[in-house]
Amino acid sequence: MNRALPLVAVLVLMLAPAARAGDEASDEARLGARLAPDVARQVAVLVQEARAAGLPTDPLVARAFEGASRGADAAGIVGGVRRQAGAQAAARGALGNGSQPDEIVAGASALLAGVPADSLARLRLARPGGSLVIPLVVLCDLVARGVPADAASVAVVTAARAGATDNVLLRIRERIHTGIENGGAPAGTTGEVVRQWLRVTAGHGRHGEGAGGESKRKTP
Amino acid sequence: MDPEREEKRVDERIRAAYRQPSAADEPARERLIARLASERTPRASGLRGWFAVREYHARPVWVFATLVAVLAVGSWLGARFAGRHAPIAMVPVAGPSDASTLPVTFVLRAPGATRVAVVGDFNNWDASATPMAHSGSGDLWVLNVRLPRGVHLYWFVLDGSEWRPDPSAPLAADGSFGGHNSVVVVNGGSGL
Amino acid sequence: MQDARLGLTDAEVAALARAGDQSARSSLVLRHHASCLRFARHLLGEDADAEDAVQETFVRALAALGRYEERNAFRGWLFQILVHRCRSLAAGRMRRRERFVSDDHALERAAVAGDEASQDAQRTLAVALAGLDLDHREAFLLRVGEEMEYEEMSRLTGVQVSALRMRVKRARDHVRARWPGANDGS
Repeated sequence: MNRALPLVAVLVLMLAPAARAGDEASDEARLGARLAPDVARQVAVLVQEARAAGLPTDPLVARAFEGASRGADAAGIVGGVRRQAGAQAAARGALGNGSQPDEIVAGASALLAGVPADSLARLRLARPGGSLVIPLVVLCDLVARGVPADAASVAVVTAARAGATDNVLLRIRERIHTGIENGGAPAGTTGEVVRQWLRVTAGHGRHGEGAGGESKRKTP
Repeated sequence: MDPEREEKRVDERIRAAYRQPSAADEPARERLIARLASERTPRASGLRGWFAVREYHARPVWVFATLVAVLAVGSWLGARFAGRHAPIAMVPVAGPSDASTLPVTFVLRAPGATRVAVVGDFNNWDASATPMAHSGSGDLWVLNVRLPRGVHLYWFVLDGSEWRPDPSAPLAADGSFGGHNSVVVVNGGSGL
Repeated sequence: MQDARLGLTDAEVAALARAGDQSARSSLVLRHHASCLRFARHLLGEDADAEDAVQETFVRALAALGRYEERNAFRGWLFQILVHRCRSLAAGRMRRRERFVSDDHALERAAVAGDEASQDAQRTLAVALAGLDLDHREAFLLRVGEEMEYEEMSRLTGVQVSALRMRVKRARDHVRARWPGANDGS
């Protein structure tokens, strides 16, 4: 094993640059097909940096194409990609190095929406070992619709900590929307919907105590 | 002066003297952090044979080669399986089932529109790539596609110029180009 | 270096650290190193011993995070380990000297940061503490220096609250008697 390892290392070292060059050429081809050469080059650099850092690259390419199709200028396109790249790095920092690519992408969106990084870390604690994609999507959605970031964070983290599944979180999201569309204040509506769910869950979870049993869970 | 207040005042001065930082504090903290960084947690013990834990004895050349090998293999494998190499032309669902993509249906009620398309990450934001089909009963527009697993951002584009979010979908952050993208999450369960 | 998790409680950061998050481990150090080091320095009267005690404390605490129960304050748990480390170190020296620190040593070792007035205050404190035995000094520093509640002090020292109150009172009287301006009623 000791003798084989340097051989393996050399082989991989020989292969890796070729594979890396293949990816880079593919990036530039894709980008060059849609973007002006200068923009394609700048975006390709950001994509390569993200790849080297082990961060998702497709969302960066997608952001560039989105900018192009929305008529953004060169600075706008590159700026948008750079913001996405930065948010992805920050999301991984907050969610932990073992995060799945989809979690990083969803987390980046949440950060860009104004959700504080601490909330992402708390979400990880609230649902250890489970995917955070839906909780992050729900959190981002609430903030994008006008719920203050701290109220949205507390609500989603509390629900997740209390065992809310992805489907439950999506239903909670819908109820909050309905409440806001019916004139409720975003923060108050958010808190109330989650409290209602906690009460209902506490009632169902305590056998023999009935729906009136007191919940010991802390409410936001 | 009231003895209790006097006692409090002296306590405060004592405490201030006690809490006064020393020039030696920061170097001591850095030494602690360096020591903690050099000590492996039990979970990393798989590599312990290659990296010294408390005293650095390993021959630098082989440690470096191993590190580079591990990183190179990891990034090469990651790139092979995470990247997509060419724009995907989306067509309505047909053909054999593919485990790496899942069926997703987009629906929009848009009375008065003459054409509606979906534009998003999964078609490289090409508004001409995925036109929706007008559903028989007038206002509904429908698109069935197969999407890879993951988080995808999109809009509906009406009559080539009006960009509209999906009213039934969650919103993403303001993506730098105006407005909030809609989100679809494609996973093993039902897509959003 | 910045604490990357400012908004989280100690318990939350400890949970992250327990899960292997390296930056969470650094956060715990950034939050508590200064208070641990000043406590150890004033208790033991020597920088080198204080640094040893604090290093050992953090190494043990981070290795034993699985045993930390979130219902107790993290700082209290950390100080429990620190107090024991300091006592072990001090016991090692006790066989060599009657006092932990002589008045001369105290003058030499007193922190030199700050303006002249604060330097004077630090030296005064060091000299005053030198006249206390370990038990009184420990109780005094936890109560007056770290502003701990007696219940928490009792938990981490293993000493009854009534005994701790007595020690703090005696220590406070001793230090105040040596504090310039403490008795002039201003």
